Amino acid sequence: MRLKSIALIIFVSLALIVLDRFGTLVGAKKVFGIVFEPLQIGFSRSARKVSDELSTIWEVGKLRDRNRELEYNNAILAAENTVLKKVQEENKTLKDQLDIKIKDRKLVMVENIGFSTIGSSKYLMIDKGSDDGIKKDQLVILKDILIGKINAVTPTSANVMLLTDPDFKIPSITSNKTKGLLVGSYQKEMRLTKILPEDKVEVGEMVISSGEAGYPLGLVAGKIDQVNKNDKDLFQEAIVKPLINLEKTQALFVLQ
Amino acid sequence: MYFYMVRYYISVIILILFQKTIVPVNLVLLLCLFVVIKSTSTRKVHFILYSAILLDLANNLVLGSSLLSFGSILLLVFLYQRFVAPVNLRTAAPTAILSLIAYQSLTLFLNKIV
Repeated sequence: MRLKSIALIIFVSLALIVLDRFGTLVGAKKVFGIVFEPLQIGFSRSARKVSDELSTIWEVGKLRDRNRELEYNNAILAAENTVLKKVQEENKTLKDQLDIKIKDRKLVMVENIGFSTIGSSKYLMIDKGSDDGIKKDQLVILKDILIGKINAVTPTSANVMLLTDPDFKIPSITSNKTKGLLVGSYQKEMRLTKILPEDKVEVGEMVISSGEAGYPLGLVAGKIDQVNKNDKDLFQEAIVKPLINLEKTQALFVLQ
Repeated sequence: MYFYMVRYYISVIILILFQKTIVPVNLVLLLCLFVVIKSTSTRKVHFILYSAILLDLANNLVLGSSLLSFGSILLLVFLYQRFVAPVNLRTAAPTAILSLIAYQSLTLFLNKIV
């Protein structure tokens, strides 16, 4: 572009400023406004619509990202929550257990790590063994409920013979002070045997350890589910159901 | 050549509408700079006159203020090209930014004093 052209531009601009200053271009401005304003309004509306659409798309993207982030955080929180629930359950179990005092004997908290089936016998496996002071014949309890006794011990784990094991025998009494011998039956239930015919036994009564044969007094073994009374037999017999479903129980205690 | 320039004239209207609604940058000035630097048309002066007047009318500015700003900027660009170096791709961006700043300041000043 030549200098002459630029000078012309500057000259025209100054002339226009002067003319506008004295109001001689009002008519031209008005005509322009009539033509240009509808165009501008239409364009502005369209632009706003496009802008709204774009912002919606943008927000959808942002919301998707936000949703992903929240899902991620939610997963982390759910995982943390699961851990905290486990800790809370453990704390509750410990607190409950601390409320039950059994002759000031030491309790070792153990965890149920599954079952081991040897032939017809089913043993509960716990995560502590001789390294933690676990010994054979120690009793396993939860609160004041008797679960079984230690049958075999390795340095890191142990097998628990459950009350339902046919080899488990424990002298017991019912809530009405009826004496008997509790024996495991088919790994599902117990039988309270050796009940004298004149003694009263009722369904729903609790069966507890009598404190004989080296077992502590007052450990709950189960609840009477059925009573078998036959005049021909020397003794009565009752079917006793365990109180706890061990499949769902995690924390237990070994009574040392 | 006439149709070639018509394309720019239509572009100016669209750019004015754009810069009034979507992009808050003086796109018309940038187009004028592009035309002045790159185009070989002999109708550059007409185009600049048309663009600047249209810009003033669309923005309700004092008529001629944009044209004076454009003229001043083009004068500086002319002097730069004459005495320093031709504006190329490397210097185009700083030239455009400085021009936009100069336009803002000059037009604002002119509209205040007139």
